[in-house]
Amino acid sequence: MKPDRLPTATTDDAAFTAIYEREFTYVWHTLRRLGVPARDLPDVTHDVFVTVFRRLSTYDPSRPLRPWLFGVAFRVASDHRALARNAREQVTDRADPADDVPGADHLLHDHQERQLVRDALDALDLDRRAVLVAHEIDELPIAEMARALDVPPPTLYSRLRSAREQFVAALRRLRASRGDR
Amino acid sequence: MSDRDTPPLPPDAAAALDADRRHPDPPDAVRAAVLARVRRSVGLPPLPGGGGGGAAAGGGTVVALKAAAGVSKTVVAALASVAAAAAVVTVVVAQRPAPAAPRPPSAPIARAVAPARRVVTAPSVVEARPSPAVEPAPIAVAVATAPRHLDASAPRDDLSDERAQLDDVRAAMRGERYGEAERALRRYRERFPRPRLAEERDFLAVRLLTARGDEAGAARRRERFRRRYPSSIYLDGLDAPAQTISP
Repeated sequence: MKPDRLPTATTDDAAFTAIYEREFTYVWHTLRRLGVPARDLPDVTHDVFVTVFRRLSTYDPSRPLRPWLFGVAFRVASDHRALARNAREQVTDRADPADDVPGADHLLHDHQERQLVRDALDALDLDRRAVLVAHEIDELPIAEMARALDVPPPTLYSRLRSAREQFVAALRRLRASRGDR
Repeated sequence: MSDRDTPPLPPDAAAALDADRRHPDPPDAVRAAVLARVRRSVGLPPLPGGGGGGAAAGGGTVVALKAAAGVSKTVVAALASVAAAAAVVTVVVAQRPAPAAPRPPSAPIARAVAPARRVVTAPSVVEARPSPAVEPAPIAVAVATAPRHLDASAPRDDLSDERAQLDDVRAAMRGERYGEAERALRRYRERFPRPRLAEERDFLAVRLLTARGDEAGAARRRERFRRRYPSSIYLDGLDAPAQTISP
């Protein structure tokens, strides 16, 4: 899915509301994939959109919106993770109420796969996790991420490479330990 | 280094990530509740219908879109397309209104609200508002009064700092930013190991646990509070439901 561009960016209520309505789900899932515990997602999503509102004037409307949003979400998630309490919760908090609905086999399989992905992502540090999530799941271009995260593209490519390796290794380790294959 | 230098993910790993793309979206009630909180935090007025708008309103809310100075037609069009996914959205924009005056952190609040507007899904707390027309209510917060159990050994200069920190906790709780309230409470504990406002701190801790749906934790702390402060002015508010507002 390619990110849309917002035609204009002002600090207007309407523009902000448009962004919120269109990107709430994206921000929510991004924070979840960056390791924000389920119980904290409402609070941290709130913090992201407060930042978005206050910094909307710094957004360049000629650029795609999602990398910019990802940059904001990454920084807020990073601050959140920096707290020791939250770091501990990342290990123990497996609450995921929206996911906890038993259903047909394929739904159960999806649920298990998502849990596997989450556990494998937990094996990565936040920098690598971010580049993997943004590039592999959100399909954000490295050049746009570099701009949004203020990191040189070669550094991001390097992180992407090691993130892929670590993710695959963690995935296989977890599958082996669960007897999947 | 470029993407060409990095081996792509093997099919099984890519398939696993695909499964994550199918992760269920958060409920509309959560979307609406977070938007209402964000709008309060940044000083925007509540949206018609309670702040959710669009999909958050549940798909039936009709909102008139009126472009005005500063909002281009393309933004209006974008809004309209977003709205089409769930309902027709109404946003009235005439002129950016002046930010709402923030509520004084320690101002007493006297408002009773209908119970059971919060859905607690253990172990997470998910906010749900069946009627978007109803503003989310702040949780019970006691009026700032002089606590009866003061630690006289603490420097007096710290008292206003203590008060300010607890006001932060209270303000976050009123805004239903419970994670922020918990962090503020932890900062308070770290900064004031021998607090003068321990009674108020402990009361807020009980209210926070109640608000977050941790009934077992709240019950333990409630009992401890009763033993420690048997004549506390906060006892009346200790058992109040999360949505009840103390005078």
